[in-house]
Amino acid sequence: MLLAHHARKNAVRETSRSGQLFVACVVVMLLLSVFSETWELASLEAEFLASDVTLEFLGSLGLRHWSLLELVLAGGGLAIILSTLATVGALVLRAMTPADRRRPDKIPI
Amino acid sequence: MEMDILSSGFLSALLVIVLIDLVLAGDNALVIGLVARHLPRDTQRKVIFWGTFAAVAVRAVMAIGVVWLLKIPGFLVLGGLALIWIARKLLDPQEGGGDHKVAAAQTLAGAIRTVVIADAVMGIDNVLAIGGAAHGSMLLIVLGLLISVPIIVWGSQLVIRLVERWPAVVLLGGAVLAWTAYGMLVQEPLLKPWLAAHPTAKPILVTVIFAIALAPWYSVHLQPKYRSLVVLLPGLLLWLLAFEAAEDIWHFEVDYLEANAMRDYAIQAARWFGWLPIALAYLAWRGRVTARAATAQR
Repeated sequence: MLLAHHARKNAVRETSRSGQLFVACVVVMLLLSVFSETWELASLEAEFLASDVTLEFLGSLGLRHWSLLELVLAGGGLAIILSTLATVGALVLRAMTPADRRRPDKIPI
Repeated sequence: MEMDILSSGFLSALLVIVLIDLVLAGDNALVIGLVARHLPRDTQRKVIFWGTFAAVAVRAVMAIGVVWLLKIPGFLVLGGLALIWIARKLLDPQEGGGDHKVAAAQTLAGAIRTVVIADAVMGIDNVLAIGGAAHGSMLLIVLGLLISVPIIVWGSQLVIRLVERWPAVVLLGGAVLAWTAYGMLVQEPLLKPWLAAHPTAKPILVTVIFAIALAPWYSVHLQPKYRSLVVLLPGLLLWLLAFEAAEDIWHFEVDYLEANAMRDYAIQAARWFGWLPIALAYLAWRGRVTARAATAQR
């Protein structure tokens, strides 16, 4: 039983950040697929939910009809998008942050 | 229930079974090796052959038994709860130890007996999970067994290397086990009509399952002062779920938009704020226990 657990006594701590992001995105997609069933029902009953753009978009995806394979792939896609956004965001932030005045390669502006 | 083998539902169920086999079916070869390690070389070969045969036979018998058992009302709930526990155990960090403690056998009969008993005990989780993931499809159960056989025979080293290279496989396996447990619970014939009548129960249930099964994972990312959330979050969700269940028993209005009597308002107040004193009492008790442990350590 649970060789994987014995082989990796502390998989939780040793998994890379990108691996954890991928599994977290898969879990989020799994949760969304169950929540979308309730949202679809709720948006039929309440006008204020139907007018909400985010819920309407999520409802239109019909996530509850997606199979696990599709949800895992979508989780992978979401993880790639999030890590790309984080990388680009970090680069933009670095570019926006003024360089140290004392640095020799500082261009005087 | 039989599915089209090219449908995404079938491929998804197969993916789940492969993942379950990878994280749960790998250690039989290890046990066979450990049991046979002190025997003469030709007896070792016999133990490996008969041990593997017995492992596969025990697994096949248990798979047939589980498919039959899952048709009994209420058994899907038990199976689902067992899978939540298995997922949690898979992710729970184990400090030190954790190695298989298997005594080396001295005779062929003793070795085969140990292998059969070990496989019967170690294979329960795997067979139960495959039974839940197969949704009653005999083809998927047979495929699950066929995939687990090479893992039993040659796979322990492969599984160890795979998990060491990509530890995320263990996390994904835990998440998939939690998802399978949710699927088993909502497929339970005793719960189906109730879940259909309470649309909010399913999201609460799935969140509770993931909160409990994945607690060892997210708790390591929480600062010690926030670790109580590991208990409080599932507790709060179970509190909300209990009100959904109590609505049917005591016939009160659980939807706050439709509450129109003093009793309904009181129940709404209890539903949304009643958990606060319990949570505060838990935090106080936890604080006291932590302080006592810190004092004892000093």
